[in-house]
Amino acid sequence: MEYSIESHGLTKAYNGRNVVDELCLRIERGTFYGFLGPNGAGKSTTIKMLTGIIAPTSGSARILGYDLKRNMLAIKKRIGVVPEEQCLFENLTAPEYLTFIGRMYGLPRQVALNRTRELIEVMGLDNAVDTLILEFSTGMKKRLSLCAAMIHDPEILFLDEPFEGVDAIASRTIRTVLEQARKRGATIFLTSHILEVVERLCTHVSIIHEGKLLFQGALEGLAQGARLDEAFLNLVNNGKTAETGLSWLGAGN
Amino acid sequence: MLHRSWALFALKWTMIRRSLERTHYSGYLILLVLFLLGTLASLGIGFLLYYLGSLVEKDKAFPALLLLLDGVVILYCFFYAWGLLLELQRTDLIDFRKILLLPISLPAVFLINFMVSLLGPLFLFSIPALTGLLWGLRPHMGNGIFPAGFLMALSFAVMLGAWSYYLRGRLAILMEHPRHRRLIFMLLPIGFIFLAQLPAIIMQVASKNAPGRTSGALLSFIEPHLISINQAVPFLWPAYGLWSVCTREALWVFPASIVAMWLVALLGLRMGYVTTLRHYMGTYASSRTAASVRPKRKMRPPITAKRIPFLAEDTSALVCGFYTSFSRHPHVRMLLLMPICFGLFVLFMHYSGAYGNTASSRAWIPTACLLWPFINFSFFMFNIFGIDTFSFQALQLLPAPRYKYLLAKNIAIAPIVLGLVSFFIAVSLFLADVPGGIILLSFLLAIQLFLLFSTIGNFISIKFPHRLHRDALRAPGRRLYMVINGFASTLLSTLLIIPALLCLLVYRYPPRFLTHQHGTWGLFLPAFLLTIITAILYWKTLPHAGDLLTAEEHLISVKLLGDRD
Repeated sequence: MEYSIESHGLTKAYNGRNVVDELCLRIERGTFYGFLGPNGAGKSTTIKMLTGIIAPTSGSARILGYDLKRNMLAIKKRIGVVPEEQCLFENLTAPEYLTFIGRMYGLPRQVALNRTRELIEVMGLDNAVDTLILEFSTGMKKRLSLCAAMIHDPEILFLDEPFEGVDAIASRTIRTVLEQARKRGATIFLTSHILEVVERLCTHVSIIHEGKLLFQGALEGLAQGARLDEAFLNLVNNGKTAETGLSWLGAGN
Repeated sequence: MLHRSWALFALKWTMIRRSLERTHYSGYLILLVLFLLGTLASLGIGFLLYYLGSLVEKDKAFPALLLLLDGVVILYCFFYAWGLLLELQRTDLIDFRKILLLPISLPAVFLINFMVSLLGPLFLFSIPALTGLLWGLRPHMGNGIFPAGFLMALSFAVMLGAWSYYLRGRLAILMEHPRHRRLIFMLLPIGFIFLAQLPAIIMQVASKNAPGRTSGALLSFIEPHLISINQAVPFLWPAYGLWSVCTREALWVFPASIVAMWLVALLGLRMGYVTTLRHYMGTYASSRTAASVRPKRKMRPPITAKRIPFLAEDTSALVCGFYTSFSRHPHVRMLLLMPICFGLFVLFMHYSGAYGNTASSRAWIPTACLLWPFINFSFFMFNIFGIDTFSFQALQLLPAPRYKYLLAKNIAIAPIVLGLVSFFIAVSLFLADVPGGIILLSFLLAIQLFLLFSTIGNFISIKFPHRLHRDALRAPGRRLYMVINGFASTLLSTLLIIPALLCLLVYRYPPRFLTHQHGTWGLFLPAFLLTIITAILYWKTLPHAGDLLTAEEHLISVKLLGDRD
């Protein structure tokens, strides 16, 4: 079986604490993969390691058959990333930024310009072509990040919370675009807190909690007829349902 | 009410304690040194003012005494304004936005914040200086000068504090919009620099118009206008009020000044409170959403699509991207605008004869013009990833060899630094009759300096990266670090310009063996060789710097993005 993403014992430690602990992932090509977990579980750290933003403490990974440590530039040519923090050139406008990114991925200038125009129009950024990215709202920055990640038609898309701060209309556009990319054979690796979106889009999921992988497989295998949020809570809370309530509102009476 | 005030006090104290806990021990050491330096400076100014005060004779007090008092007030205002500029983006200790939902008296919070803003280091350091001045005036004016002086100073501090607090609030509202914020950050320092030069301009104009140009003639020229100016400008009221006590002429001016200052302070506070409250309650329309309501426009080919001759496609894109981003940074724009303002000032002073006309002093003008841009821009050249910090992760994700980032960063800054050098040299040509040889030498050395600063700057940028504020030349929350960094950058720049200076000295005081063998062209030989050696050094070290960047990019990313604005 050929995997687009494969990791063995991938670990990241900060101050002696394993934020990601011995992670072993196997993701097939063309999969829409949901990477789920509560806050602080290690999702963003995993994406940062797989995309070369931070170095793993130990373990190895192969992306599209390339070794993560040895062939980082070859990997970067083939992937697109929407990071958690919007790290963009804030003093550029969206067309300037996208054309720049396109050329950096080796697209001929005219192709980069054409794709920039199309992406800006499809993602609804055409009313802000003269606006500096600095002035963009969070949702606009998210959409621009996605444009930058897609301009070179990557084989894998890493998306860290792509729907955060995005309105319903843009969210719909993003979903459509992602579906299109997957149909063309791209692998999509997505983290999201919005489980409804994951349920609707993803074919496979994995759940990470306190740095450890709790589940990996097809979505049906996790949910088994139940709703995804229930299956997720059961797995993360180890079957325990927290007794919640406030004493002055009558809890425990 | 009491327990709410106590809660506010506890909150304020916790916030101060937390901010101190986050400070590294070296920070405390530097703070201590700065405090000692401030105390020494304050005592020095105190002794100086004591001396000046004791010189004033009661019967000849006007206008020298009033001028002295005006000078003290203006000096205080200058330092206060400078502090205000540094503190411009400091949020209030207790943020209104966070407590608007709570049932707490908003005027009380506003007053607490105002009181905290009032008690700055300048307030403390001005006490010895004021005491010195009053002590100097005591023999002529009597002991009554002390209560009068301190009361006047307190009233003035409150008035100045209230209006600056109001101004800060207004600026904060303006700065909600990123472009307005950048404009303010760009224009304010230029304004302050201009203000700092204003006394020199005024004195120059006065000395030009005063017959005989002696200090006595100058005073008599100023005298008829002095009282009117002191009456009209509220910031000069304390000087006018205290002067009236000292001279015992129009004694009513003293209480009138005090009352007027408190009334003006109350008005400032009231306006500040209303503005702050309206702002937080959303009365002023926010312009943050302006981006989303602009009409759709046809996209023009952006600057990042341009091709640069002799460079690879990706390097071209990098240079265009870096140059555009760099040239839009407000501090870079300020550094570009400043020479124009300063040039106008120099031209004015030059034509008014302030600098004298000696040929020896003029001959050094090109040297100063050559060095200034490098000293000014060294901060950016030694921290090439710090200026557009948030883009670093975007760079990390790109599939380009890392040495190209360094090359492109260096090329992108070249038109700005070398352009400024050219501009300065052109101005110096206009100002002084500079020989063509010096001009040629300056251009040659400008290239050498640029290559040397880039070579060293690339390594420093990789080993010691730090995040700069997106709108100003400072690192968020690391003011002391920036002070040390500023000193280190200036020191290193001074060391790096020594070889170029030696070449200029060789040209000016030529050794016989150079001219003997090669004629006049021999004078250019050291500079030419130095430039060639520096170019080879740059070219040879660039791939190594690229390898180092590849190895350290994860670490740089952590350092740059560790804490956000």
